[in-house]
Amino acid sequence: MGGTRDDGFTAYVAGRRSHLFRTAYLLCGDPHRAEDIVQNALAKLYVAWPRASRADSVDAYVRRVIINSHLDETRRPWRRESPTEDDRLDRAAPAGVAPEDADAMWAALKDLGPKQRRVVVLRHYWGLSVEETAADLGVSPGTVKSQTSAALERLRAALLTDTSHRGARR
Amino acid sequence: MTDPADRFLEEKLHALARGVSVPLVPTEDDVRRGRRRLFRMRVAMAGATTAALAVVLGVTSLTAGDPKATEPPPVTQPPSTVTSTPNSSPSAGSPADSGSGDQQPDGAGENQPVLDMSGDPGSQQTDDGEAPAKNATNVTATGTTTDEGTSNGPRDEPTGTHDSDPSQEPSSTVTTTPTDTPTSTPTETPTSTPTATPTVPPTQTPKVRVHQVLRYYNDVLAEHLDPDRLHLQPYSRKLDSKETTTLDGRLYALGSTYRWENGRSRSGLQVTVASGWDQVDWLCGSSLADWDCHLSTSKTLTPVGAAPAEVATHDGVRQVAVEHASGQVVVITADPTYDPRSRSAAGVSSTEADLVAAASDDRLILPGVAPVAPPTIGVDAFAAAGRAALVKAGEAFEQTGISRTPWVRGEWSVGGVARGTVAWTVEPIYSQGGFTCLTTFRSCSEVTVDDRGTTVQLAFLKSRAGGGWLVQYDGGAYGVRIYSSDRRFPKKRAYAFVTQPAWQPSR
Repeated sequence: MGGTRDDGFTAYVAGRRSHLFRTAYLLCGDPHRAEDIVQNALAKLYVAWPRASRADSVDAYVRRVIINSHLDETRRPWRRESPTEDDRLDRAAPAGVAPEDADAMWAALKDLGPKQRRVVVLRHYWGLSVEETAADLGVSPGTVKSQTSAALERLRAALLTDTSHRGARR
Repeated sequence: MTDPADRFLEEKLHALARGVSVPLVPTEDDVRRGRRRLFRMRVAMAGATTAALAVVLGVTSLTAGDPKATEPPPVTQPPSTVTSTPNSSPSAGSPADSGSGDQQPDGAGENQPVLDMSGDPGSQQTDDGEAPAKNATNVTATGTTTDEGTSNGPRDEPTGTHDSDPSQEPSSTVTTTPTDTPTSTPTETPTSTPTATPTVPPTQTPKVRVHQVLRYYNDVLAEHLDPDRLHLQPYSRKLDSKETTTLDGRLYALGSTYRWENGRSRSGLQVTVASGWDQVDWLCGSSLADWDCHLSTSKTLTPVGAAPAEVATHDGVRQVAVEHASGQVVVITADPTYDPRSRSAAGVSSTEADLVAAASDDRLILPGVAPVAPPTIGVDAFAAAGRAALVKAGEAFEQTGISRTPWVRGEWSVGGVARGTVAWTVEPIYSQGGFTCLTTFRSCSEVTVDDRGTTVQLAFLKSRAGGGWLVQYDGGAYGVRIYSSDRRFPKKRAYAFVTQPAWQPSR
């Protein structure tokens, strides 16, 4: 049993870990937090591997775990802490703009709300249908549609603004 | 997604994701973390299962069997061992907390009257035909009877000794002698009878549980005075008083004042179970009390070997006192003015005979290893012996006080000239009545009074304490004391009197 579990799990992780990490990164925007989310999701997957593999829904299981883990992370008290805006505090000099931040798409994605961001990631990065997204998120398809529409509207507007006024938002 | 704009967004999103640098994490690390999580979950589940199982087993073991296992046995059951504790003190245990919410009339417990208490209580209760009958019922029987109804089969067995109430002994033999009556197997499930543990009255348990005992007293009283429970309220530790007298961790008296309700009015029914007369404020026979006292005529109700019950009426209160064969004294006070807020207290309507019967119930005993009081010394004999030993020809003694302690006091005069006060009394040794050199004594010394080496204590009192001297002999039962305010009173008379063996009775 252990051997079967380890073999299947190892094969899955080897093939899908990068994809899972990118998904988590798109959701939270922080590589360290994304790694935490992925590790947590994979640990849960290992425990549930017999059940998840029998149902042939390993991806769906991990997706849900990542989504929920991200949601849990945002609810933790220390995640609600916001950096002080007191300019008098000593701080390190800016390290320059990250390549991701330089991208207008990334900036627009970060401006989305958590729910809209999840919908966008599932639908346009994972390529899920409305129904699958609704099932993963535990919401109605109508909610998925409305949030998708609103998110795309905001992304379009952001990209359009970025195209015409690149750097204006910086 | 057919919209070019949406496709553009999707491509941008994938490009963005591809640009993310993925950390290189060995797959083995993920497997190891998964194993740890799995192990933790299994350990947690095993622990939770074990804990839940332990809780279930614990609760089951506590609640299994007779749900009344911890309650006092029903009062309809004659606890056999109760009657078997006359001379030997009941059992074991230590008294509970001290303090006494005494609601009895306050007064000198040592000044008492002329009732003839010289009758020897004795201890021959086993000669009674009823005692062995109760023993036949045995301890294991009493608790299970009412809980399971009357078991039919082996009921016949103890009837040879049981004469009165068949409902009192039925299920006893189910647990005690199952082999004697094989055909009459009890219909109850044998597992539902938790054997002997719930059958022991709270007065017989090694550990003294005061509230359970008081609840047991209440049930006993209700059986005699209010079988239908129309007036006497069940004991409540929150509402009813707990009156205890303790000394050196031993329980000398225990009682309570139960609520006796009659409609809107409330009265009180007080019961006190004491180790002896010295532990109750019973002023019958006291020269200082104005109590209307008489001996009860309900002699048939008093326990075998016990002195006749005494009945006192004073201040609108009726009191009954019964000295049991063990020496323990039960006092029941029916007080109609217990609740001052009651406008028309109906009072306890029980008859004198009922009160006597209740006080005579041999289930009313002190719990645990109760102190054993020595046999009572008749006050008349004690007074007469004192006169004979202490007052010689040409002298006079005018008695001014007496009590059933016994205690006698009077004025000693020689040739018609008053010389001072002379008093003689006894104090039970079991309740620490031995000699103590007090601060009011000027000096204390030990005097050998005969060739056998008998010693007595001699103390001279300070003048502010009245002067004079005090002689005391501590025997096995009593400390016999003589006091004279006149130092010239011959001490040798006192020595001879206090060392008389008659004042050291044994039970």
